[in-house]
Amino acid sequence: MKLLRPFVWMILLLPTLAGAQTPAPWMPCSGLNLVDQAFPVAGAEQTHWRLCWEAVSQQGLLIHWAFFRPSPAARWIRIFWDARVSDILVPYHEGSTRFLDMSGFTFPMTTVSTADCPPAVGGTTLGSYVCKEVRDRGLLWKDDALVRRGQELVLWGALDAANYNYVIEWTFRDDGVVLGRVGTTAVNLSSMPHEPHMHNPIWRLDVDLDGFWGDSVDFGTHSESTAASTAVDTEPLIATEDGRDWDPHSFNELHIRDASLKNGKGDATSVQLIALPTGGLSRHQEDFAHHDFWITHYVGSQMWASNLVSYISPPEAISNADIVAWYKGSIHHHPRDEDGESVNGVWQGEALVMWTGWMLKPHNLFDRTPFYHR
Amino acid sequence: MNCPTNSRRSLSRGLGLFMLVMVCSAQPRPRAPLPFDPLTEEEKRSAVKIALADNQVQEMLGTGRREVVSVAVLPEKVSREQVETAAAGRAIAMSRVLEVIFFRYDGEVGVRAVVDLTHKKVTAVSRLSSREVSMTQAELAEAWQFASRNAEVRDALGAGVDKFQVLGAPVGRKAPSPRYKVEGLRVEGATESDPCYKHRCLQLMFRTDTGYLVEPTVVVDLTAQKVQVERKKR
Repeated sequence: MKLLRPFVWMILLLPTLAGAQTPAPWMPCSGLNLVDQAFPVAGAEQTHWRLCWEAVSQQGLLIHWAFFRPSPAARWIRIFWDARVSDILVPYHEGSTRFLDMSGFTFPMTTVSTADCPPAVGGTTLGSYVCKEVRDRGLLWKDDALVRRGQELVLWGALDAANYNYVIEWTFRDDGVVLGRVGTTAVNLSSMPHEPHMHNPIWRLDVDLDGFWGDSVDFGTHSESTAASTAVDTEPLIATEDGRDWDPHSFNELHIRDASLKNGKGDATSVQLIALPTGGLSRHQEDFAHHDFWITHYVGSQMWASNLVSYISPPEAISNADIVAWYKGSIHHHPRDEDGESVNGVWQGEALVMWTGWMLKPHNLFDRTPFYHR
Repeated sequence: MNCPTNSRRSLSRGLGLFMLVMVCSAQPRPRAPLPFDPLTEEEKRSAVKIALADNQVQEMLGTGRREVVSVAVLPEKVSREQVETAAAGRAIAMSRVLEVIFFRYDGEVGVRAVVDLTHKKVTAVSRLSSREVSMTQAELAEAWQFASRNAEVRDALGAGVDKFQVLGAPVGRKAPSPRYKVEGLRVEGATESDPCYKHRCLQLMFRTDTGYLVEPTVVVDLTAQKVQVERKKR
């Protein structure tokens, strides 16, 4: 028996020696639809994403559930229950031509091939409609001669909305940041190819920080005037369902926090929804296009951006609740010769991809700088 | 691999039975899809069948012409206890919940049925306005059929008019693309005075193997059964 003792100890200590990892969350998807990505791609794991995706006609590329683990021994933190582009409002400047490019028609996804998703740049096609790219993302931090480059996992697919293709892209970075982007490309509306217009993707982000219960949203606001040298940042609670506007001078953000989630230092954890506009954010006569951010209480059937105003009428309390954040981005498309030309009555050429999107940035999720070394 | 019953005779009875159980239990069995896995065509058909068997759905849809617009996974939430169990790495029992949207042509309304495919039952039914129901390839085909009989459209498209086709693939599936394709965009009227504010209207676009035709602009109002054709002044 004495002889066996060292082996028993070895078996007991093995997980610690190997770097004990918290068990991965059970996921409601399988096969190609389950993506599990540790960072860095080579070497000892530091952070980890685990998520489900689905490519659906009309609805585009959806994210169902997404968990992030800031270190191998840490708990997995749920970030999303569901994330999707709910609709894309496309009003033309002449006023009478307006499209809802997702809810209006049951458009299919376009197929992707290795030409879209070359293995040489980290691409892997996931089925017929989705490209996964795992790649270097440039500098994570730099301090004189010390430097660390970052990595990211990108999933994208495109909706074939007649003349347009909408590229729906989700990026999950090694530092816990999520980026959502929509890119518009393909062919200008052939009946009015020179008419300026907007493409407004509206995302529905069902953020469930560490679970759906106990979430609240604060409206991050920076205040500074040219008459004084000081500035103040405030974060008033958004107590009831409502819309909010983004002001570039106020750096407005939605801060989504959980009532009990704290990092190892005991600091409250939140994720911050930050607008990443390309040029600006538009307003249109449609009531759901009167604000940039909306916050609603979760209701399973409330999926459509064009019904947003009805979803908040009457407004419900959303403090310590299950919340859904909505964000409207804008792409101002002023046609140019680079988009194409009319040749013998046929429009020839492709509008190059233009993007808009947002960032969901963790705040006090890590205990200290991730990927830091001296 | 088959599980032969005769092989039991050549083995001692107990050991043979044990071996048989081990071998058969190792056979891969078709696994049921997980709740958020992509839907199979068979699951879509089942969901439609379950929805159509529901009295409330039947009542709302009536007996006239109708169409299945979409069948999709509905990411409904589960209890806090289940969410915590899943986060801890243990499997939970989650229903496969789908949303089936129908369009009823008579009166132009939609019906939304939430189907629990796991328990084969409808859990919610609601009415949708026409605006809330997306337009489909079937409506595009109808719009083109209607427009292609219009003299102005035929004149504008010239000798090639009958080459144009609507892609016939069902939702979510790709069929070989015709060389001359009719595509559609749903037109949303900007003001209440615009018929397309409430009607189901499609702007037709004509794609050839070299690109989209710049004209004509054809808008079909399927509700009013009207075709509007615009050609640029020369």
